[in-house]
Amino acid sequence: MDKASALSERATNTQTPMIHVSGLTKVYGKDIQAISDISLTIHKGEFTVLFGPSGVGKSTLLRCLNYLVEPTSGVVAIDGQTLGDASTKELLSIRSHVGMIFQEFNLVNRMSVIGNVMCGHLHGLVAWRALTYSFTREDQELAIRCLRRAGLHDEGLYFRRADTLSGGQKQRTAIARMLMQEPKVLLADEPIASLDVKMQHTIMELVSDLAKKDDITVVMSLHHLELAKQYASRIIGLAGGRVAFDGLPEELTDDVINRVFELVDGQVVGEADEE
Amino acid sequence: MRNDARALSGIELALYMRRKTLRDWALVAAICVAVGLWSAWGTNFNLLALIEGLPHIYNLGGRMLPPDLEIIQNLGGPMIETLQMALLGTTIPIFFAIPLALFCATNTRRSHTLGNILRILLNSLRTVPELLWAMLLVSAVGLGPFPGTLALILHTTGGMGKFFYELVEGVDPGVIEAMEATGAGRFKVFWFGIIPTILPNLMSVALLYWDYNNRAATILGLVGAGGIGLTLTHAIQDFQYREAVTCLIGIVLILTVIDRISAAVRSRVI
Repeated sequence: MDKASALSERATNTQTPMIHVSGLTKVYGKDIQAISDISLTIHKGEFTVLFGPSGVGKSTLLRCLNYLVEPTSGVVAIDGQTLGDASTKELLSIRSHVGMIFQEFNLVNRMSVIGNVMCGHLHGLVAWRALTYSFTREDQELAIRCLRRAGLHDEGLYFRRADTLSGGQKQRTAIARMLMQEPKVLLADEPIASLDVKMQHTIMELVSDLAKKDDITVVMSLHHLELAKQYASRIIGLAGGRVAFDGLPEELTDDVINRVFELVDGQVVGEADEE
Repeated sequence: MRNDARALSGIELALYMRRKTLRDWALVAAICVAVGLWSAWGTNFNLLALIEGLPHIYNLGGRMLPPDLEIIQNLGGPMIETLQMALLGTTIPIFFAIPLALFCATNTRRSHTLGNILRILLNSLRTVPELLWAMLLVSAVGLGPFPGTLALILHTTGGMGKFFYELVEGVDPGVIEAMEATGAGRFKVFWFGIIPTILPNLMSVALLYWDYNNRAATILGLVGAGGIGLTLTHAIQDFQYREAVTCLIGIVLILTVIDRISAAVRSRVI
């Protein structure tokens, strides 16, 4: 109860709601329930970390937020726009302001670094330019600014093929691609899991800086809880496809962590017993 | 069976498995021999007939030699025509096969129904050999290299389309997801995420078909669909075997050169 009131107090303190989710459920196939009945409001400027055991639905939840995965039921709204009601065209337009980065970076390997970054602006590219692979001058200039903002200052890299980069450089390129969208929201799916320890801190630092200075609302799945505590402003633990913890980083004690990880087993056993 | 195997142990199990493998091999060998005999029976395959025919073959060989080099000057035109048929028959299908791949590949198609209909279409185009297409088209649009080229286009579109959509289906879903997440529509995801990724493979398939179509184009003359094949067919029909051999030598030479070129290009692309 106290925690809920603390959260709502914080909610009123922070500005406007950016992501609103209610009753969100995703069932794969007939009976594989990835997430069930999740309701959340994430406010502008929050840096939210999702944690929980693997296979608990973190990736699914993230992908429901931009409808890369269409939820089975429930409502998702980004900055007041409900994704479920949107036409395909409107959905693409909403998505164009929701950036996403990934564990495996997901760059187009055979494309240049700057080409990959400019792909972040595909939504606004007119058909004939798309067909002929010709981005505008403004796109090129913006891409260079984004690359610099993402910490890639070596211009020699910009025209190299993406698959010649190191892991950290790849993630920076992916971040630049995301910045190219001028996003309100960043969805990050384990963005540092494929990086070495030093680079993990660097990238977290960068994302945190983007969240603060560029006013991007971040939702990140992360299994490094120490890093989560260090950078996040809010932490959500998922267990069995539901929210098992939602609070401030300080509130994330070992007890809570154990409870979140045990809850999965508990629920699975419980459900099996009922049936 | 499994329980039996489990009851055995160690060396016994190994011996049992070995016996089992030997038995399986014997079975496979028996099936192969049976199928071979069945096919030989069905095709009147007869080594004796071949041996009896040897004098005739020798005789034919005699009539083929030496090659009639005088007709070389008449070969240039049909030879170039053959190459042109193969070029068009390979390049035009690329423009059909790429959009068809977009609509057929399970990871990019918009509708299952349309995708499946197009797959059936591609399958039919591919299953009918180009020689048969050429026969049909000759009766539709008349003799000459045009129906031959059309025949190559139809057959190649079928084959290339299948290769292309399979390549599209092999693309890392993460890349597609990343492109979709930027708010890019279906076509832009395909054009920026998928095509650059599979480009070397696309080129490799196109080269393969260029190779193949150069060969295929030489035979289309058989049904009056243009190219060096027409010259060859006329020579054989008129029992001018020495001319026919010259044609064959020309074909082999040109195809060897093409082989080299396509191998060189391929090694640069990949």
